[in-house]
Amino acid sequence: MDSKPYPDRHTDLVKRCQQGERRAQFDLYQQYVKAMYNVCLRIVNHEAEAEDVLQEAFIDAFSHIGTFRGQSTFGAWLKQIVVNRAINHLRGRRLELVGLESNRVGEDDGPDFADAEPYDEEGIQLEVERVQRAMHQLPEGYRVVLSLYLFEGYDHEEISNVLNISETTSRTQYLRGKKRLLELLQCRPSGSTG
Amino acid sequence: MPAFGVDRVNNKKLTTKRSVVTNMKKDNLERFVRDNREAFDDRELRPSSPGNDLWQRIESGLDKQLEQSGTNQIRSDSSSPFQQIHKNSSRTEGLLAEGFRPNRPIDGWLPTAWSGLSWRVAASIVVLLLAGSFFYMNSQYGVAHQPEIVAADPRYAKAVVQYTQLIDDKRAELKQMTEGNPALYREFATDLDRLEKSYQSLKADLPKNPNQDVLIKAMIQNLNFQIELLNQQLHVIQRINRQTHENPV
Repeated sequence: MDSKPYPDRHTDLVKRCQQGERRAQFDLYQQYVKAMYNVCLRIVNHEAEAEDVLQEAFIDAFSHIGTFRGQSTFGAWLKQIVVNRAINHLRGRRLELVGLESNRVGEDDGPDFADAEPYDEEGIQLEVERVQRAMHQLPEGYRVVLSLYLFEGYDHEEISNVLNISETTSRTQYLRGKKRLLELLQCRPSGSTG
Repeated sequence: MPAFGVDRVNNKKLTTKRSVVTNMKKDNLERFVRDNREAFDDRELRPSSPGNDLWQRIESGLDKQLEQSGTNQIRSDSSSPFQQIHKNSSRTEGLLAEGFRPNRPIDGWLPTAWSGLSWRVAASIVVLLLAGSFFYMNSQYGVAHQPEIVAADPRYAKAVVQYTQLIDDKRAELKQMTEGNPALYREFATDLDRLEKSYQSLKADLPKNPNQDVLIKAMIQNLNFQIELLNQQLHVIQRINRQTHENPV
């Protein structure tokens, strides 16, 4: 319809949503479902559950859209809700972030020295789909931190707030998770689930 | 299958732009994700439940919420089952009729709900404003805390309020810092209480004293002493804490 040179191109739609207009809600929904589904799926790692979370998040967003003041874009605001919802969902299903806090050294993250070392990323063929598959295989704690940092652009302070962990933990989890991810990328997916 | 080495393509996933990054330096992965961020958002909602399906769930969730907030206020009458039916039917037919839906019954009571809400919002804003202005006045002139002084000389009231607040804060801090050392706290507290007692007696004299100016100045000086004492006590505790921290025996 009308796209205006606003900083947020959805200002009009948002305004109409704030008046409770269903049609505008649907339009915004359509604009954002896919992106938000992907955000959600990366965190939750389960398609049906991701949809459930998404449903809650959208209902949340639309019923609280009155509190949206336009300090960020609507997309950013919505994403915050989705991320929080997704993490709450993981919590409800005994998020393995517990194991994330107690640093079980060397249990599943191989030799520990690698934290400080530069990664040998050279020669790894990074390619979207393989990265996605590797993300899918990551342990939950790693996956969450990685997807927030790497994909959603959260910094470690923000991650520590959302996940209720310290910034240092976030950092080490990120480094370990990344290392793990690179390992997964290195080993050829010869017999993986297809 | 594309000639892409051992890569097995999951047919559910879309074949994305295959950007192959060969050797770069360290933050390779970060850069790769950043550069191809869009390509990562390629997953579609499951085909078994097309986008509309999820929307329907969302919509009915929203309806339910509206209903709840609505029934609380106005919709406890007998007309609701009727509206219910209408609402449901309009929902099921709703999505295919892409968007333009005239006069849904839901719109009928929605504004009423909103106006009820906005009245409540307005009322609470007024209350907040009143409370806010009271607190402002209070912090400026200390009406509630220091009525005697305000009566005697409003010029000093503000200073007294500020000092007493500062003292309260510092006392709280002191209490917190001496948590592990109640004996020390008691000692400190008796010193403070002595000053506080003389302050209270000055204050009690205030109404009948002819020379109020001098008395109020004395009171303020007393408060100054209290603050100074508190500062030094806090200093001592900090030193003690630092010592026990450095060499815990």
